[in-house]
Amino acid sequence: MQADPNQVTTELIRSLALANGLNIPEDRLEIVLEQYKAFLESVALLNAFPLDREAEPATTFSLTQEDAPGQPPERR
Amino acid sequence: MKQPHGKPPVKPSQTNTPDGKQSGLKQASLKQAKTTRRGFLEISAAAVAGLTLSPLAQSSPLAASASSMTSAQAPATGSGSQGIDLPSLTLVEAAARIRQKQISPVELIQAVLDRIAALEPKVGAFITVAAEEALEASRRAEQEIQQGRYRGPLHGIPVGFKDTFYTRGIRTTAATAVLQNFVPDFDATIVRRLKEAGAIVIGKTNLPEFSFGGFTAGTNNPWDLSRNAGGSSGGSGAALAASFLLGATGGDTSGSIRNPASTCGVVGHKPTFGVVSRYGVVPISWTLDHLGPMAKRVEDCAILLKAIAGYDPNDRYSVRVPVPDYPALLRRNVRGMQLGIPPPTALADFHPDTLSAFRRAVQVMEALGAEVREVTLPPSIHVASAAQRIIRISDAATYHRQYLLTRAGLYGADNPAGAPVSRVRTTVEAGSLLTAAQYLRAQQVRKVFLREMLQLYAPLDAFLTPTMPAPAGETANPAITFRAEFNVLGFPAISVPAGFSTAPPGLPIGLQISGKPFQDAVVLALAYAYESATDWHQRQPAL
Repeated sequence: MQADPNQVTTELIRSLALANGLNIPEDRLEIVLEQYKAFLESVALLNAFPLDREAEPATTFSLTQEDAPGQPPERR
Repeated sequence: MKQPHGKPPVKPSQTNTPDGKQSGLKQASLKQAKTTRRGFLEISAAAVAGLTLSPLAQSSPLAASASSMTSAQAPATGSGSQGIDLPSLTLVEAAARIRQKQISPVELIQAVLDRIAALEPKVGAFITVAAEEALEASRRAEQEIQQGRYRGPLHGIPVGFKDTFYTRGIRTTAATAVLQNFVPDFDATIVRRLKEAGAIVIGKTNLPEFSFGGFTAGTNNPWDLSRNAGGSSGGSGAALAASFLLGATGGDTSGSIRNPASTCGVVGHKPTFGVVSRYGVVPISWTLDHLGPMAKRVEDCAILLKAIAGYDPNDRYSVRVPVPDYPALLRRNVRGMQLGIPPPTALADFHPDTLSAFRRAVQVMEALGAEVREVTLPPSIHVASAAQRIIRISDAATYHRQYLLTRAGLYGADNPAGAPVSRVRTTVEAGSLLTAAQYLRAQQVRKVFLREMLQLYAPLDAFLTPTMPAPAGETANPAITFRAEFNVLGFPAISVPAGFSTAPPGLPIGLQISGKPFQDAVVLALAYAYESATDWHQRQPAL
């Protein structure tokens, strides 16, 4: 099931912000919501891209570990 | 010191119109036509008639700007020794004159400051001009050189730093009120290395707030002052095009060195990730930010890169690789080099002038003996920019948390659409709500993209694309821009002047050359070969 950005509301933005220790003023909730929806669309694209079951993230990016041509991982 | 923020946009002093057709392929006769504007125009007319150009050149519909001129014809706002217009010199040209003691650093710096005083109100390239500090440094440089302590080709050369680079004793604002009173007590590694090489800090160049975006509010494009200089290193690009600087630096998270380089008709190189230290620079993203040189010529960039590259223990991602002698490696034969280009479908939505310039650039490369072939793009390239977006904003939100909690009200409203909100604040607030799992998904895709692109590059020496989808202020929205993708990869990529638009006329267009990791010397050599075979870089805007 993919996330549906249209189901996200300003109420959710307020809750997520408070859970993260941020206080987003009421008059900014709507514009932050629109930006957040745009990010969710990018996330949806990433989630739809087929990845190998064992694909690991490159959380600490270092080309010295990656500079040799490798085989693309098998896709599901 | 001055602060240009908030000033109204400057209207164009004149409108560029085409004065003839040229391919940009350099001819001996063009080289000889640098002494007078009349001579330049005569040669342009000859080029239109196809009297002196090769078949390749004759087929070109690209138009030169009537307001453009060669370096020796720039306004004499800073004439120095022997009647030379000093600010219009390239870094290499100025360095040779300083080394031979034909000009002094004091003369050069004063001439540059005079030009800035005369023309900066039109351009808006700087946030801070450190005139007194620059003159004092130039006097020290002059003394050292007189005493026989010449440091090398950057000694006495005026340079500028994007205002995200920490400069000891000179405020570093990142174009935001959040940092408006920040005066660093140390230099960024790049700043320190360039100072040690003898370069002289002229000032800090303009950018969008915290480097977010490709539009530098307040900085006008020297080629058409009604248009923007691009971004985020827009101040550096405009300052070089306006001959306010002979060298500059930029930061590139989504294309922010290459964008203004292309848009302003100068050279900008995004080095391989890890080659140049990021220490002491206000970040956007710790694993996407690349810092690099910008200059009027490829060789100038090579000199700057040699000075700033190298391992720095203060940068977690700095790599321990030898620093090649980039300038010495420029003049290699590119015959037989294998160059990839995207399939036509990937470029279909680029601006027609950009596409025409790119096709002609490919022809020039083929004429130089390189072997060019279309490549098949991997599936992951279609989601690479999405991965870049999530990684960038997650990193940025983490960095900005300190300011969201304490100074949120100081974020400015620099949105070019005129919205009364800070785009940066909105972006980092929304980015703060993404989850770790979403961030890591982007990093998973990044790794796949990296592997697939390493495989694509394996048989190639370089990959060519247009730098920007369209010239300054024009619209084109291709699915793949070939810009932020190279920040995800960390591969080296350079933008070099490759033509001018025809409709509207006279706007610079850039060619992007990207290479394998740590093959910056190959990328620079190809750019140098292309530059040497063409004359686009010799034109300067009339201000």
